[in-house]
Order: sequence, then structure tokens, then C-alpha cells
Amino acid sequence: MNRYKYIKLSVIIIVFSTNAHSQGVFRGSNLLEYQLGNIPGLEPEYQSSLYDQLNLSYKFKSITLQTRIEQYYPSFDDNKSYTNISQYRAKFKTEELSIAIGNIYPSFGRGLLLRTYEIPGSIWEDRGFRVRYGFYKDLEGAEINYKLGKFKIKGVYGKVLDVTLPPTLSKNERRPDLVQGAELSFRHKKLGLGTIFMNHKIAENNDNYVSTYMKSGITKNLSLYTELALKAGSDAELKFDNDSTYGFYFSLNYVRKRLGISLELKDYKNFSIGSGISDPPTLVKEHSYKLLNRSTHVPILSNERGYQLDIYYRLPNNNLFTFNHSIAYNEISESKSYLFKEFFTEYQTQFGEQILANFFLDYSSDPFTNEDNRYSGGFIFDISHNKANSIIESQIQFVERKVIETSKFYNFYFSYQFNIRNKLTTSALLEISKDPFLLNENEEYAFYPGGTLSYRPNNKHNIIIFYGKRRGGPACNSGICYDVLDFQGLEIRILSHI
Amino acid sequence: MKLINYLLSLILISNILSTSAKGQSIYNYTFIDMEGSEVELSELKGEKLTVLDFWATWCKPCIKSIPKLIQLSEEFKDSGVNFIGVNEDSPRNSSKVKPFAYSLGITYPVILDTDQVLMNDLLVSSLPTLIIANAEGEILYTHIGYSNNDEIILKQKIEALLNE
Repeated sequence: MNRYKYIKLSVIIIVFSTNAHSQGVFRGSNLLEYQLGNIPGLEPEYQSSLYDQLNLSYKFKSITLQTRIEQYYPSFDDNKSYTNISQYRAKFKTEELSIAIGNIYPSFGRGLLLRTYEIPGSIWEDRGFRVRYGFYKDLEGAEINYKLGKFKIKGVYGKVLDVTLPPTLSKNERRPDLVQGAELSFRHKKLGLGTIFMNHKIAENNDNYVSTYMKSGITKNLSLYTELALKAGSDAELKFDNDSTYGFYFSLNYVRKRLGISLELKDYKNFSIGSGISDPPTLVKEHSYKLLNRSTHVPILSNERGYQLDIYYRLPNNNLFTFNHSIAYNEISESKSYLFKEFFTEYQTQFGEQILANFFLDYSSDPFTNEDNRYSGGFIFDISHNKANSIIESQIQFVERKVIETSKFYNFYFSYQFNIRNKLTTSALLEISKDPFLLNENEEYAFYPGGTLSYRPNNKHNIIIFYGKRRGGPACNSGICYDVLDFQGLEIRILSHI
Repeated sequence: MKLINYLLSLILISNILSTSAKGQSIYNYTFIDMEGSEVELSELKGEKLTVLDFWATWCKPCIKSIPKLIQLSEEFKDSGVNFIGVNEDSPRNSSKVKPFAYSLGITYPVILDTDQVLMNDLLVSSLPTLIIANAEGEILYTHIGYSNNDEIILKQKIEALLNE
């Protein structure tokens, strides 16, 4: 796009925002990210790219119009650049009826059959395609919800985006799954019952699925949710064995004063639908600690059963205790099975008025990734100063990995952050790893040093500058796990709200 | 060129939707609260102001901010200011929200925005985000992130808005 078109575009956005605001409510946000650098070890060492995502929303009475425009300009390959209207959405909503057309985020039940999502502010890039774009899995089509007394019906029709394929490919390639389905639910006080029918088409396959769920507040302190989803039709096997196609999920939670307990069970067999349109609850803790987050177990939907237990307890002095335990069992074949297990505990306490501290310990065993033993521990100290605060965080992880022979190595993470009144934040971080998979020949350690400067001039803008070497690998965010690429260089990110 | 035409058509649509529309409400939503009951945001709103706190169980700054918000909600409860927690955990963590919220001692209502409907409609792009709206549902103030002592800024903002 040349400079003239940019000016025209800017004028239109300004005119639209002032014009529309006088009649309804206009909102907008923009995410711009500039990178100068590359994946460490790749040539050239420095190459630049610019990604921009503009979101516009206009609400007038019962109608909402939204759109997203994405642009990407890499310096290294013109074929990877694009300017797209990647989303549009029109919604009409009254008390009983809502209709949405365009790029929407519907789901059925707890996502056993269908779940679409967006991870706000995340940019996806794959090592193969090297194209950057927003990280969201939407459905292009329509959704209708109608409420009649205690009954509610939801209808969904459309094509789901395969988030792993970049916008430089055609729409048909990126949206291979066609979904059409309906969910009928009934609610009386704290009892909810629902049933779902979904038809799914991909390439030559045309399958039907049914699901039924119940949620109930049994007492004020005890509540449960359970859902069973099955493949339906003549080729469906309802034996609940390893050849059947089904997903079962159960959760029970209990609260009393300062205590909270959650227990969940899962049993998924041959339950990966299409290009991955479903997202059943994983029953594995999504850690906010960097090293643990990177080691999160990803469920194998072809065969996995297990449970997760969470206990939260607030002590009288407001100190918080957390315990998590999860088990996942995969029977890949008659002779091959894997047992994942994890134990995690965390304690949050206050030292005087100035210091808030968190300590954690974790043990996990993940034979599917050949990591038989992982021991992790760490702390965070958040220290208040006058009009500022410092955060010191350190984590260490010892891993035993068995691939032909056993290797023992460690990962280390350290960061120091200094914040001045949510306006200015500087941080220095360092990761060190002796993971043989990351080391080059004759290298003893892999170092990942980096620094970040973040400046928020007001509530509408935020500028974040990163310089250094960032370790990638698996990451989990908002319930979704994906791979992040390593990066070395300069990154400037500007977030704006209109 | 397609993009320009597309934006021009958006302007046209906005003009077609004419007449004055002051007071676009954010309360026109129904959610399930963490007790399992269906609630309308309009039932939970404050007489004068409503503070919406978008949070999730995996978000460390959110958890750090919650005890301060509980204190503020107690402080302003007789001033026509209601606090509402908007939980953004995905179905993966839905089961943990109530036990976790109880252990934190949250006293204000928490609604479950599991499909991120409110988050998307209000273009909330990071957690935690605090939104203050008036009784008509107009957004008056947005605060993104949480650092120590942000509750002082928030308290001053609420007082200033109450005095307007």
C-alpha cells in the first residue's frame, strides 16, 4: 500500500470515529509490532518486519458492527506480505434473541465438540511459513441464540479457521472444517441441562456428534458439571472402549469459608475432531511460572483419561496455599502406554507491609516426552517502595530425559522488574539452559539474556521495547497451548485504544 | 482499494443508523455467575457507578489486585458503587473459578465470561483490565494492568467520578 492510500485510510478512520461517536459508541484498538532480528542461528541475523492489527467496533442500540484489519510487511520476502480485512462481524441483540453474522467465537458446552477462541494481543508465527498474524481461531458463519422462558436454543453454522495456516493461503485452505449444529438447554434455578447435535464435514468425511450435559448447584457449597459427547450414526461404536469415539468430562467443586476444592475427571477416546475444532478441558494446570508453563502436558485426545485435584486455602492472615495434582494415562497400543503425573504446591505470604512473596515446588513425570522426572522450584518477591515496586523472580528446573540414554540437565530463569506507578517498567531477564536439544556443538550452556522497557504515557497507549535473546518453545495462554519461536534482536510493540 | 471501499461502507452504515443515541449501555448482557445462577448485568450494576474487573485464575497481577479491590468494594458499597468480577477463564479452568474466588475471599459478584463475549465486545485486550461505567452503562474510565498502589489511583478516580 503506498503513502497516498495510507493517508486516505487514516482520514477515513478519523472521520469514521468522530462521525460514528456522535450517534453510537465507537471503540477501537491497535496493535503494532516491529521486529528487527531473527531466530538465533538463522541468516541473516537481522531482518525487519512490521505487523499491525486494527480493531474497530461500533455499537448503536441493539446493533454492533466490528471489523479487524491486519497487515504484515516483512523486509525479506514480498510474497509473505499481506493487507487483509481478516474479520468482520455484525451482531443484533435483544433480551430474548441474538444473531451474529461474520467472524464469531461460538462454542458448545465446555468445548468437547466445538470451541473457538482468541488470545488477545498474541501474534502467531510458524517456523515453516514465517508469516505473522493474530492468534485466533474463529468461525466464519452465523450464530443465533433464542431464549424462551427456561429454555434456550443456540444454532451455529460456519467454517472454522485452522490457526496454524497463515493468511497468505486461500480461505478454503484455511477453513477446512464445516460445522453445523444446535444446542438446546434448560435452566431451573441452579440446575442446567443441555443437549447438543453437531454435524462436521471435512474433505470426504461427514460425521455427526451428540452430547448431553448437566450442571447443578447441589448445595450452596457443592456443585457439579458433567458432559458426555459421542460420535453418532451407523459407524459409531458405543462400547466405551479404545475403538469408540467419545469424550467424557466430570467436575465437582466444594467451597467452605476459606477453603476451595475442585476435582475433575476426563476420558477421551479417538476424540480429535477435524483439524482441531474441539478443545476439551485438559485437566492439567496452566502455570504462570515460565519454566512450568513451558512443560505443560498437552492431552492426547486419541486416548487419554485422568483426573485433576485443586485445593485452595486462605489462612487467617490472608496467606494463600495452593495444591494441584493431576494424572493423565494414555494407552497408545496394547503394548505401549504412558502415565503423566504432576504435584504442585504454592504458598503466598506477606512479610510486613512491604513484601509479598510466592514460593512454589513442583514435581512431574511426562514419559510421552521422555522426561521421566522434572523437579522445579522458585520464588517471587514483590517489594513495595515509595511510588514504585520491584519484582524479583527466580526459578530452577532439573530434568531427567531418557532418549536411548539418560541425560540430566537444568533450566534456570531469573528476572528483575522495576515499576514506577504503572507508567514506566524496566526489566532484565536471563534464562540459562543445559538442555542438550538446545545446545550447539561445543556449547555448554544456552544463554537467553534480555531487557524490556515499557512506557504507558496514559491509559490509552502502551509502548514496550524488548532487546535481547528470547527462548521460545511450548507456551500455554488462556487455556491454549502452542509453540513460540526463539527470537534475537529488537522488538517494539505499541498498543493503542481509540 | 477494496479496504477503502469497505471502510466507506462502514461509515455509510453508521450514518443509516441515525438519530441520537446517548447512553449506549454495556449492561445488556446475561451471564452465569459463579454460583450457577443466571444474572443480568443490569441487576448487578451500581446505582451510580459500576467497576468491572476482568480477571482470570492464571493471571498473577489479577490475583495480586483482587484483595485491594475487595477493600475498595467494601469502602464504596454505601456510595452507589458496585464491583463485578468478570472471569475470563476458558472452559479448561471453569471448574476452578468458584473454589479459587472463595479462597481469595471475593465478596462481590463474579460472572463467567467463558466465551469472552464481553471481553470481545469491549475490545479488552489484556488482563487485568478495570472498567468504570456510569448507571447508564457509558464507559467513563479504563485501567489496564496492575502495579502496587494502583488502587490509590482507582480510589481517586472513583471519588472524582462520584463528585462530578
